[in-house]
Amino acid sequence: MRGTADLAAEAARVAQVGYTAVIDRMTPELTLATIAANVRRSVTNADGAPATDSELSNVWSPAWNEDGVTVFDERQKKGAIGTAGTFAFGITVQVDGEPGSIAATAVLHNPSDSLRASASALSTALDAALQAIRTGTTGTAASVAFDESVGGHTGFTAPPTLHGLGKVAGTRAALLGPGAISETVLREGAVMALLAHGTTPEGAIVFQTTVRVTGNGADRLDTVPLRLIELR
Amino acid sequence: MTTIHETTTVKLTSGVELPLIGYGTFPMRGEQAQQAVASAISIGYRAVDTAMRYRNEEAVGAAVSSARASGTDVLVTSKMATDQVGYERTSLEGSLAALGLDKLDIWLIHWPPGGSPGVGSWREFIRARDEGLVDAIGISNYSVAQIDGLIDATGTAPDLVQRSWSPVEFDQRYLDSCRDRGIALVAHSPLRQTPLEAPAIADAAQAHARTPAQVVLRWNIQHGVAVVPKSANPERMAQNLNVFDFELSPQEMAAIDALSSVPPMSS
Repeated sequence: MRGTADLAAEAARVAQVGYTAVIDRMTPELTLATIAANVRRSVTNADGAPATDSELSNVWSPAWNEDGVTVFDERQKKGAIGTAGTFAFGITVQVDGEPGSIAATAVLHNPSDSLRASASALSTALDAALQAIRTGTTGTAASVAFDESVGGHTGFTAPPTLHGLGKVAGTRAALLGPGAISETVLREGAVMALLAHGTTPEGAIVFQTTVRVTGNGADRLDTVPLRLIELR
Repeated sequence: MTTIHETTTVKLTSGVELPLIGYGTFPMRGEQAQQAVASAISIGYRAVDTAMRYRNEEAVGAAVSSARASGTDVLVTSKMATDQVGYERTSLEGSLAALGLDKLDIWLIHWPPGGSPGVGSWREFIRARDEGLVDAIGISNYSVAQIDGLIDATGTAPDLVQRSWSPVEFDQRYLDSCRDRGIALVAHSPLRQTPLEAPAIADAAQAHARTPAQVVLRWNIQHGVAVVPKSANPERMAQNLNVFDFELSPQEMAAIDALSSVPPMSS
């Protein structure tokens, strides 16, 4: 029987398989239903499954999903993805009950300088949050680093948010950001999913990664780009 | 062993001689990948196919470097992941570092980015080739229209296109289009969707005392299509390579062509 740490790493790997199933085969004509089918097939082949149980889901996601695939633009929930705006999406899977998730943002056109700048600001802020994570700190340190980094950027329609979801006493809980109920001290080996979310006039920008807390930092369990992906 | 066709390679426009049978490494990783590639090379494979997406370039590179150190020349193909648009040179440097190579033999765009030809990336591929970092450049999983998008924009045709290709995916128009443009076709997953029990294949296998898989690989070669089958089983590895000493008749070739489920007007 695999330990939680191994399962977390495996779930992150399977989530990344789902990510590649979306990004590699992306065309403007695709719909959420087709994307979800592609993800289901790839994730199942990788010995995982889409997470449809809300207990395993990205519980903070403002736009819930179809079959483990979340899109953050209401327009893209029904029709074709299209080339306008951004395509911000999340993948949530489970391996033996352990959740894994990623989120990424792509554009299928040449993005404006302002969109690039906003994406860069969010990426830099998420990196600042990652740099603040280590054993013995609280989620607040990461939140503060994030807010200080992105606070001066004016390209968002509202202040961007950072969410961190992990486990407290074996139960999934928000460790930082909206929904965090206490100053939870991060312990070595803890696994946390971090999601940075900002909204621009051209669409949502979302980045998410899963990390394992170490003595002097945090190791990413996936390699999904935490920047704007330009598919053009 | 009697060799009917002496030619075991296809010459790319760039001058690279690509072995008609290469070794596919997806989805192997780590020690398994390294050992499998080392076995393949010891059996006689002289071309290995990997990709940034496969997350096995280090393992593949270790086996290739060991072979090259002992004087065995092995051609390496790798592919840039779709999400690396705008970061082409960084991606190539990453692959070279992971593989332990100073130069890549063949570098491909793994998927058309967002369904577009990826002209910006293709320009970077051309630059990498012109600067001597890669010998040949190409694409993977592209339609003819997407290929033409690259040619129209840059004047440079890919050396090769790699795509899923098997008897059920056989498309004469696509094959002709590649040939007309001087582009070599490389089949990945040549056996995955193939109905090996189909009479056209089974009968040919019996007639030539070969396995159905060997018949499919031979069918590809006779169409001038290179293949990169993957098998971690040493016996099947050897069988996949042993397809140069028999020949399918025109009738056998036509019968296998007829297994195609591709509509006549597609490409």
